[in-house]
Formats: sequence, C-alpha cells, structure tokens
Amino acid sequence: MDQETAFMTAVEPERERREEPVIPREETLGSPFLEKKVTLGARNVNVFYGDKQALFDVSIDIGRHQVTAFIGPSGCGKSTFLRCFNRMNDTIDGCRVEGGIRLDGEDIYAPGMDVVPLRARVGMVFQKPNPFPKSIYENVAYGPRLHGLVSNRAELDELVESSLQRAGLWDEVKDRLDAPGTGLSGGQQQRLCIARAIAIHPEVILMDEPCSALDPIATARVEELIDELRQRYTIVIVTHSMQQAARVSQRTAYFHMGRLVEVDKTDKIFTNPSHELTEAYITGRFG
Amino acid sequence: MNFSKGPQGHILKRFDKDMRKLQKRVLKMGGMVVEQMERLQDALGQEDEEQARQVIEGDRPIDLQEVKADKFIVNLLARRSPVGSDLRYIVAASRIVTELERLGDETAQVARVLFQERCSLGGCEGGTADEEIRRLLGQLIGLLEKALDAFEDYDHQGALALARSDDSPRAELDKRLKHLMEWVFENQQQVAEAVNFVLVLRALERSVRHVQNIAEHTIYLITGEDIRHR
Repeated sequence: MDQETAFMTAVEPERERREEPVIPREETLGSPFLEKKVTLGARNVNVFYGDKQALFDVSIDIGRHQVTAFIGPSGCGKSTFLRCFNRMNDTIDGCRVEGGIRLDGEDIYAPGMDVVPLRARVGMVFQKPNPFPKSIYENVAYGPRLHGLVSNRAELDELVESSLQRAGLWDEVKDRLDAPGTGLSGGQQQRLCIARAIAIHPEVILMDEPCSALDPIATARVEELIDELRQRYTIVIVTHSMQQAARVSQRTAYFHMGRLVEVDKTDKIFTNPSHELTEAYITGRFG
Repeated sequence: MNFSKGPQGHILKRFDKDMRKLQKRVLKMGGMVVEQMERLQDALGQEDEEQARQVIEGDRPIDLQEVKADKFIVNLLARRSPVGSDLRYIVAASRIVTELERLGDETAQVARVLFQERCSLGGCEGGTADEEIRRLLGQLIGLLEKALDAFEDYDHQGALALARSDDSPRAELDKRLKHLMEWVFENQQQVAEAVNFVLVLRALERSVRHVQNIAEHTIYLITGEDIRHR
C-alpha cells in the first residue's frame, strides 16, 4: 500500500463512526497560540475531500525547536492536518485546503509558492520506513543533489556522514554505505529516512506515526533521536501511542472528528486536561 | 476540570475492576482506622486496659494493609500506565493510604501513652480529661468519616470544607485542643503527667492534620488542583 492509499484508508472510517459524541463548535481549549518562537502558524484551516469536510477551523501555532504531538482517534484529521504543513494534500485528487498556514510568517498556500523547496524546508517521515531501493549512501545523497546543496563529492560525503550521525545511524552503517538501504532493520531504515530528511537542512520535520512499525527498542532509539533533533529542528509528530506523545513532546494537540479540541503543554494534557473528550480519550474511556 | 464519574468507564473493563479494588482497599483501611479510634473511645470510657491493648496491637494489621495497598498501586502503575484522572486517582489513593497508616500510628500512640504509661489525667469543663479526649476522638472520627465519604463520592465541596481551616469542624477541634492545653497548665499538673497529656494532644492534633490531608488529596483527585501548603 503506498502512502497515498494508506492515507485515504485511514481517513475513510471517520465517516462511518458518527455515533461518537459530536463536540460543539467551540474554541479550542488550552493554549493553541504562542507569543513567540512560532515556526508554523495555522489559522482557520478547513480541509475538504470532494464535498466531505475533514477538518473544521483548525488554528494552532507550532513552536520553534519543540516537539508538538497530534493525538486523537483514527480518522480525527490529525494526519490530514499534518500534511497541510508541506502541502502533501495537494497530491490527493479532490482535496481542497482553506484558511492560512504560515511558515516563518510566509503563506505557504500563496499563489506562486513552489512546493518543491517548501518540502525541502518541511521534511516528512512516514509510518512505514520507505528507503529508496538504492544504497545507504545514495538514500541520503539524493536530496542534497536534487536541491543543489553541494558542489562536489567531498562536500556530499561530509553531508551524508553528518546526516547519518545526527540520525544516530553512522556507527552502524559507516562500513557498508554501499549496501542497499532496504537491507537494514526496520528501526535502522526509519533512522535512514530521518537522515534523508535532515540531509536537505529542513526547518521542520513532520512525522506521521514514525514508530508504529518498530519494536520497542527501535522505538526508544527513534524517540531518543527525536529528542536530540529538536535542538535543531521543529518537529510535529502524529502518534497513536499516548505514551509516546507523553515521552517525546512538549506540547500536545488533541483532535476529534476534524476539530482541534485542546492544545496545551504535554504535562497538562496528560495529568489534567481541560476538555472531557481529551480526558476520555487519553484514559481509554472513549466510545 | 471536575470529572464526576469516578474511576470507571474504561473500554478495558479489567482496568475498571482494578480501580474499584483500589477504592475498596483505601476504604477498608479507612474503616480499620475508624474502628481503632472507636475502640480507643470505648477503652477510655470503660477504663478497659484490655481494649486499649487491642488498640495498640490493632495497628499492625493497618500497617500490613498499607504494604498490600502500596504493592497493588505499584502494579497498577506498571501495568496500566495511567494518565489524566486515573493517574490523579492512583496518586491520591497512594497518599491517602500513607495518611491512614499514620492515623493508625497516632491512635495507637494515644492508647500507649494513656494506658501503658498509666497516666491519670485531670479533667476540664467539669469532666475528666478522659472524657474530653473521648469527645475529641468522637470529633476526629466524624471528620475522618466525612473525609472518606468525600473520597468515595467524589465530593469536592465536602472535601473543600474539611480542607479549609476556617469555619470547618477542624477549627472547632483546634479550639478544643487549645482549651485543653491551657487547662493543663492552669491546673499545674505534675510534669510527667503534663508531658503525657501534651503527647496525647499532639497525637490528636497530628491526626486532625492527616484527616485534612486526606481531604486535600481528594480535591487533587477531583480537580487536579494541589492545595497543599497554601
């Protein structure tokens, strides 16, 4: 299943689960907006797939060099919203995005915005590790070459090495850079994908359930890596694991049926959330 | 946010069962402490040393109950990874268990001083000191029962009334304790007896604080607000 198909099948059940409580149209509780250090700012974002609305008036700031976790039941719109940040939704037929999203104050949906450099600035790591069917070296080198970030082989070598080091993979692969990326373990492949994302110097890394296919040890390595990466990058992570959101993020946003119900510091969300729906979801009382 | 549903309603029914068990354990332990206090009251009323001895020995089962409850709580934390109101409930229950164990200690301490040390205390307000202590114990039992009810019923207002020192039954008890202390010194008891009396009064005063703490933990459990040391 490719990413696009996986995405569509993840969204569809939302339409069939309308027996869940409908939340009133109200303002998002908590602290969706930040006074400073804002990397991404979304205002009144609505997303439609054809005539079906998937997101309703979502407004939130994403803090610089922070990990922001999006949580919520399947089909709540968290992945849809994540994909608005690098216009990945543009690739889906019939998808329409309304409202405004700004990256460092720049409207990323403005006419004339080139999505190729945008996606270099806002990288993405998917649920299932998806290395290219090429060598480990080529997986990392591909992006910098494409975007013209290096002028010679020595610079490229250096960038590949530093990216693999930042992704915590260098020591494990430095002696077999020519080996196929697909030959690595699942956890290593995911870290290779992270190395590939950071090789093109993004400001933001979007992660869509990056550990759901990994075992607990590989998950711990990726989570440790996320914690290190936030020193340099702004990270937004979609996760179904409440414990993972609690472990890695500084802010957590809870989505429900296309609405952003609550955003707050992660400590607050997991000890004393403001909205009853958030409480019901995190404590396993939902439905 | 005030969640009035109690620690129930999980998709995982086993979790509901565990939380009910935890609640029962706390209430059972509370009941054991109340029984101890009532037994001490009877012992004082009847000058019954055998009952007093039972109070002193009765502290041991409460201690064991604390150990059992703690083990249960650690297992709950390890297995259920609670968050939100569940986490607050378990943390509050753990703290309440500690308060109850200390209440048990204080009750046994009063019995030990009054009977093992064989102190004969004078009275006040026209009665004996024993009668006064019995009255104080009666008030303490009333407070503890209210605190346990507030914990069981998620009663925010009830817990708040207990936790606030102004206009609460605790203020009345404080007043009685102060009165009793003044009486002791006015009547110039012999030093050894006065010291024993002070020990008893101190134990009762600490007991009131433990009950108040239970109410504070209950408020945290219900609202997430930590009002300790304010």
